Amino acid sequence: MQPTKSLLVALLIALSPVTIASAESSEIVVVVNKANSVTSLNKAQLSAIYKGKTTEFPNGNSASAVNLPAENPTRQEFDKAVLNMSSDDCKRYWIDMKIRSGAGAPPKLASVSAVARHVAKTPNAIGYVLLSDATGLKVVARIRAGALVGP
Amino acid sequence: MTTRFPACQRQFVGLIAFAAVLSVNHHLFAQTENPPPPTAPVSDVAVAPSSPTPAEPAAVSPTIEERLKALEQKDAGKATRIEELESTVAALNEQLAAADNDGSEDRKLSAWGFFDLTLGKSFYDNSRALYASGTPRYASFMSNGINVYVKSEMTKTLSAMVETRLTYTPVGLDTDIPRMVYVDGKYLQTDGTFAREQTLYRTPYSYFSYHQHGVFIERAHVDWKPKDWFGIRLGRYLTPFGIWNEDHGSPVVLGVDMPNLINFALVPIHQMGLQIYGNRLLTDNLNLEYAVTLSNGRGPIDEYKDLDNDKAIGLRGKLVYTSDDLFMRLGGYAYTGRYTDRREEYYIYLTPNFGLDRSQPVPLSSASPTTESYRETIGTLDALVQFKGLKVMAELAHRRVIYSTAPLMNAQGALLNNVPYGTHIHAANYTGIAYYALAGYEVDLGESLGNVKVTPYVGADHLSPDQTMPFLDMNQYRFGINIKPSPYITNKLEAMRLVPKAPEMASKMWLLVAQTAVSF
Repeated sequence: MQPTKSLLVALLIALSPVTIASAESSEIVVVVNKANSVTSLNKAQLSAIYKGKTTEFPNGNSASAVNLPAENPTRQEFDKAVLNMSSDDCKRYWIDMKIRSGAGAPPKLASVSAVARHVAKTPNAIGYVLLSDATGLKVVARIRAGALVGP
Repeated sequence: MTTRFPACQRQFVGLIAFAAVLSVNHHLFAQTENPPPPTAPVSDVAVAPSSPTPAEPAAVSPTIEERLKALEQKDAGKATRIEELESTVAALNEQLAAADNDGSEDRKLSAWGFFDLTLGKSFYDNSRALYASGTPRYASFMSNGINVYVKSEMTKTLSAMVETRLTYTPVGLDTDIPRMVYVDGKYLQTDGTFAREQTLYRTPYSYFSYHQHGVFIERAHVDWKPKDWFGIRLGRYLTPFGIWNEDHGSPVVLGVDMPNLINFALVPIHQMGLQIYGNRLLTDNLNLEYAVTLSNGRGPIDEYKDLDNDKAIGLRGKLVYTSDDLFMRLGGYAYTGRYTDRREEYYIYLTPNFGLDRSQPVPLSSASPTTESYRETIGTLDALVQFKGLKVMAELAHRRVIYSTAPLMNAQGALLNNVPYGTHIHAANYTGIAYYALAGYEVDLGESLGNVKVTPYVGADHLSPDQTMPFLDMNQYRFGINIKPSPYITNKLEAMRLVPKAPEMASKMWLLVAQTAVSF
């Protein structure tokens, strides 16, 4: 096969509906409970919640963030995109915070589906899951190509 | 290599193998040009001799194809069921793993802490300087103690935290309270001399001092924080001022030696009382934090007893700006409180026969005359800027002391103020000031070197604790390197040059210190 043809075929495959659907289903979305009135959160607001700077949504309602284990790739991508931190940076940040003020990191759940279930049953919860796990949840932000975008 | 299958998978594999055998037989039959007409299924043939019942007519018996199809359908059903069961098991495993930490409001108890090991040695320009006797002349390992934290989160809004520093020295106590004895209304003698057992501890490499009580309680407080903007803290807490006092732990602070505004406690480091605090996001990037403190204030035994009714009040404000690359904070704290020290005395009136003299209005009584009392007013400022790897911080503390009962000036101070030896004068009102600046640049050595963070730093520090005793003034300059090979370990190497104002009091000196701080 000639290089041009190979490139064309690769491009067609890359743009095929199946590939797009797969990329979308593995997209990370930040979710809240359906009953939550918050519609979107920007990077600064999410960072404040996940760094323990605030325990409230911008509307003043209590926010209870949940995390994934540090070694989870979804967590690592979320930390990079929202907090600009690596896994080690996050550990250092929370060790320092605990020594300073005793503040602890958001509780960790074992898997993305556990986060989805927790957010679905907890009105003030906020978490991040893969789009394919977000059924029944309200999406307030998305992570695309390593950057946070609106819902 | 042996591949192991779970029981359900083994069953599934067995069924597939069975179906495959049947399938092969079927194909063999199909490939025969003139296969014999099946009079009965193979299985029926096998059971036929033992059965008294005549064989079923061939027209109603399922064909091999039909049976194969039925088996394949059965297999497919089992495979689906297996998938369902596997999915259920996975979900249960997740629930089990999350059971201990599911974000619910059940009480959570956690413990953590830190400790350090420090090795240091000082080098004096003049080894016979007065203060050389109080500082380490020889290389010495030491530890600042083991700080252990325990926190209980009873609900989302109610929590309690204790931070203790484990140490080794005895508990202080007021001892030998003087007994003024009167005989027949006339003073006879005083027995005993009021003394407070000295348990003041000073770390070998600094002037930072505090009472050692075996277990030194850094803080112990309960917090109720229903909203971001409002929380109440009751108990002993770190005074909410500055940067260093907030960081306070050796794994967190950049350098080894504390700034002199901490060493000389220009601001009370801890307070016992209550605090109202909170924060408010003014914009997405700008956060306003505040705290109001009400406490016993500074005192000789303020941890458990105030020796006056005057409570200290303080107000903290801090603005924090955060963006992707830039972090800035600017804060201030104002404090006013009264320091009072007293001694305790008993009065005993006796008759000539040494019985209780009931002719006196109060034959047995006590008093607690003030030995020292002053009002102090303190203001602090702190600023920190972080831009990418660069970190610059500075703090300033200003303290004004106005005596109502001034103690005698110590002999050393009197002598250096040109007061004739043996003459007793009282201390005068004074102002103290201290400030420092510290700058570092953090370099991440990258994944290939294990994400080690290396921060070289430089700093300068000025102290003038009492302007009536200018010989206590000094400047310090330091440089060092802070290395974090893992989130739990911080190594530091620091060199400090101390330049005192009065050479007859203290010699210029170098201090070299290495420290490893561990978080756990």
